[in-house]
Amino acid sequence: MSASQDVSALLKLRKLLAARPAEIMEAKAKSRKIIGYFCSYIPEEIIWASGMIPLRLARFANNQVAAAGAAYLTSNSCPFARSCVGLKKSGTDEYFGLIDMVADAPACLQMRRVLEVWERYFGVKVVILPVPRRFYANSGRDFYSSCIEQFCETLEESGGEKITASKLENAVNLFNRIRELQRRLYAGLRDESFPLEWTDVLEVIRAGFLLDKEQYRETLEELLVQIEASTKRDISNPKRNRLLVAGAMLAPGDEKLATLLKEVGGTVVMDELCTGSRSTFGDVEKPDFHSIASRYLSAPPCGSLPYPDPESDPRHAHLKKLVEEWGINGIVYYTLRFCDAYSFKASHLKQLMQSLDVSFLHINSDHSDSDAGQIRTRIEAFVESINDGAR
Amino acid sequence: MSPFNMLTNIFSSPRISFGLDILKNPQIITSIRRLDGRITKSSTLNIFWFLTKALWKYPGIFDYKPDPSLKGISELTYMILSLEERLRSARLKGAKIVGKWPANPTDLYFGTGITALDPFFAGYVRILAEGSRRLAKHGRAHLSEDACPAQAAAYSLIAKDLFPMDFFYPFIGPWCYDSQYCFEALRDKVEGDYGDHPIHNLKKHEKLSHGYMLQEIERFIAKMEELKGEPVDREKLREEYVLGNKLRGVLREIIEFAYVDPPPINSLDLILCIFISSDWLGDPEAMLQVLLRIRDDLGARVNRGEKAKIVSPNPSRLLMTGIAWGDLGLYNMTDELGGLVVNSECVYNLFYEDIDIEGDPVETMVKRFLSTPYAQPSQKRAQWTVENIRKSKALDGVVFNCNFGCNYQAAEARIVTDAIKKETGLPCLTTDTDLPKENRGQMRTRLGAFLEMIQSRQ
Repeated sequence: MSASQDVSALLKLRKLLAARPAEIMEAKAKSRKIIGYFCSYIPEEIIWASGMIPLRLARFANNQVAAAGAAYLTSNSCPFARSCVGLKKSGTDEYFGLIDMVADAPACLQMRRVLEVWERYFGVKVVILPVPRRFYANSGRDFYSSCIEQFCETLEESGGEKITASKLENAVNLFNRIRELQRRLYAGLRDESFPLEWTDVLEVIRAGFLLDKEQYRETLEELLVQIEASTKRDISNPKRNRLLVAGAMLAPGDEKLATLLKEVGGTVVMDELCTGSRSTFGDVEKPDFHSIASRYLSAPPCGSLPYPDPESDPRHAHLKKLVEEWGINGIVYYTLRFCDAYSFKASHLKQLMQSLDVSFLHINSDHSDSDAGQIRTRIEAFVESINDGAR
Repeated sequence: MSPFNMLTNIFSSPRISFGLDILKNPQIITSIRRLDGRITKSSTLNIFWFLTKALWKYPGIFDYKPDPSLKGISELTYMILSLEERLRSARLKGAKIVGKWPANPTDLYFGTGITALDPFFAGYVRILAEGSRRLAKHGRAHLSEDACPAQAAAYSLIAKDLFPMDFFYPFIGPWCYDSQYCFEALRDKVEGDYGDHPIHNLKKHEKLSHGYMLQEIERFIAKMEELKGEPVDREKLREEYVLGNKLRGVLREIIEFAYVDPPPINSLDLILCIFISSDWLGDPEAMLQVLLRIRDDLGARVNRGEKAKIVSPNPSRLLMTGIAWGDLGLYNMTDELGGLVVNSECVYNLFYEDIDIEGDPVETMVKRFLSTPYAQPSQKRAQWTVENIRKSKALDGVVFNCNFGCNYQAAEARIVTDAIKKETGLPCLTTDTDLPKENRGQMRTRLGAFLEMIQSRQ
C-alpha cells in the first residue's frame, strides 16, 4: 500500500477486514446465514434484503491447493476455477469455510462446473440464478427478472427473512450509494495528483466483497472525505503512460501483474475487471425486480456473455468510453490460461484499440509466478514504447 | 520401382478398390434442399469421379479403416467427403446454408427449409482428411492456443470460407463453453446471430426457461423466414420431426447390432453413423437411404454370422462418453486391441430419443432443447448415462474422453465416471486427446492396458 498517511480510512478498512471472519462467526452463531458467490450477476441487494450475509469469494490458491482442485475438474480448467475447488477442499481459506450456501449465476460455464463439484463432493447447497445470454434484449431481461423473483423465494425458504418492499428499498439505496462512492474513487484516478494508486483502489473494492455493507459504506464515505483533505501527489513529472488493465479478474493470490507493472513504471489509472471497476457501474432505478434485473444486465457486460454484433458491442463501447475519459494510451489485457471467454476476444479488442491509437498488450498467464520473468520483460518493453511515443 | 510393381501397387491400392466399390453400389440420391424443392440425383459416375479426385485431395483418409465391404459405408464416405461440393452446388441453385453447433437439434433447422451445416464435424473431418493440422493451427492463432481443436477447425472453416454459409445461427447453451466465443470471434467473417439455450435448475425454473426458450425459437424461425423470403410452414417442422425420428430410429437399430456376437460393424463405422446425426451431412433424405442400407446389410451379416473386419471375435464393448474421440484412427486402434465402441454419449447424442410429433411443433422443440441430456447439470447427466448403461446389453467398460481445450466437458469427467463406477461397477478410463495422431503411442498403451484389465476380469 502506498497511500498518503493522511488517508487513515484505508487502515481502518484493513482492521475491519482482519476482524471480519470473527464477526461472521458471531453472526452465524446468531443463526444468520452466509451466502458465498463468485459472479457479479448475483444481485447483492436481494441477499442483503433477506438478512443474509453476502460474501464475494474471489481469491487464487497456491499451486498445490489449485492442483487439488484440478483433481476434481481438470488441469485444463482456468486457474480461478481450480483455486475455488482447491480452497474449498483444503479448508485453507476461512471465508470459504464460513459459507452456508453458495449462489451461482453461471455467466461463466467453468464456474458452473466448480459449483457442481462443490455440490456433489462437498455437500454445499447451490442456489442457481440463470443469466440470459441475450442479456441486451427485453426477453432476456424479463427472464432474468422472473428468475430474480424466484431467487428471493429460494432465499426466504433457505433461512432468510421475508424480503419486504421496504427492506428491498433500503438495500437498493445502500448498494447504489456504495457503487456511487466506488465510482468516485475510480474517477479520482484520472487526476495524477490523486493520493491513492490504482492498487489502493482495487484493495478498497475487494474489501467491499467481504465487509458488512453498512460499515463499508461508512468507511468509503470517510475515505473520500479524507482524500479530499489529504496532500495531493507531486505532479511536476507527469507520467507518460496511462494504462488500463482489462480482463476477467485479478484477485488476492494473483498479485503478479500489479506488482510487475509498478516495478517497471507502469501507471495504471483504470481497470475493466470483474473484480474491479466493472461492478461499480450502473445503479438500480427503482426497488423492484425488473429494475434490479435491468441494472445488472445493462452494466458493462462480463466477457463471459457473448454479443452478436461487433458494431454495437456494449463491452467495446464501455472500453472506448474508459479510454476517452481516463486518457488511456495503453491497455494491458490480462487473461487467465484456459479462460476462453476472454482470450478468444483478444484479437478483436486489439484491432479496436489500434483503431483508437491505443497500444495493446495481451498477457495470457496462470496465476503462478513461473512466468513472471517473461511477463516483466514484455511489460517493460510495452511501457517503454508508450513512454517513448508520448515524448 | 519396376513398372510391374507400380502396376501391382496401383491395382491393390485402397484408392482404386474404394472407387471400384462405389461402382458396385450405384444407388444414391443426394437431395440438398433448394428453394424450388427439387432433388438432385448424383449419378454413379459423379460419385466415382468425385471419389477418385477426393482420394488424391484428401490423402489423410487412408490412415482410417472404414469397412467398404459393409454396404452403405462407401456412400457414407462419399457424403462426408463431398459435403463442401454438394453444399456449394445447392447454394448456387438457391439453397440457404445455416451454421449450427452439434448439440442443436437438427430438425429445427431443416424444418424451416434451410440446410444445416455443423462446422465442428466438417472442420474436424477436413483436418483428418487432409492429414494436416493447418486448420487447427490457424484457428488457434486467431482464437487462443488453448482452444479446443474442434473450435479451432470450425473457426478456420468459416473464416477461410472453406464451406459455404449464408448465416451462422447456433443455439449456445450449457453444453459447450467455447462455442459462444468462437461465434463471437467470427462476427466479422459471417453474418450471424445466436439463440440462447438457458441454463436452469430444472425444478425451479422449468416454466420460466420454457417461456424464454419458446421466444428464442420463434426468433430463430423469424430469421429463417427472412433469410428464405417466405414464411415457415409449421407443419413442415412436424414433417421434419417425422423424418428425423425415422433417421434416429434407424441409427438406434444400427447401434443395437454392435452388441451382437460376432459384431457385424466396427467402431469407426459405428461412430461415423453417430457423428453425422448433427447435420445429416446436409441431406436427411439421402442419409436415411444410406443408413437403411447399412442397417439392412448389418442384418444380413448377422444372419450369415459375419464379423466386421478388424474387430476381434469377442471384443470388450465400450461406451464412449465425454467428447467422442475426434482422431478417427483411435476407433480402429480400439478394434485392433480387442475392444469395440458400441455407443457414444456425447455432444452427438441427439439420436437417443425421438421428438414428439404430437402437439405444437415449436412447443415440442422447446422440450427437446431443454431435455438435451448433454446440457443437463452434471449429476443429472451422470444419472442419465447410468440409466442408459443399465438398459444396454453387455457393456464392459466406459471411456470418458477429454479434448484439450474443452474444459467444460472435462470438468464433468469425475462426476460422471464416479457415478458410473459406483452404480454399475463398470471400469472407466479417462483419456485426453488433442489433434489427430498426436498421442497415439500413449493412447495405445493406455487403451491396451484398459482392455487387458477388462478381459482379465471376464
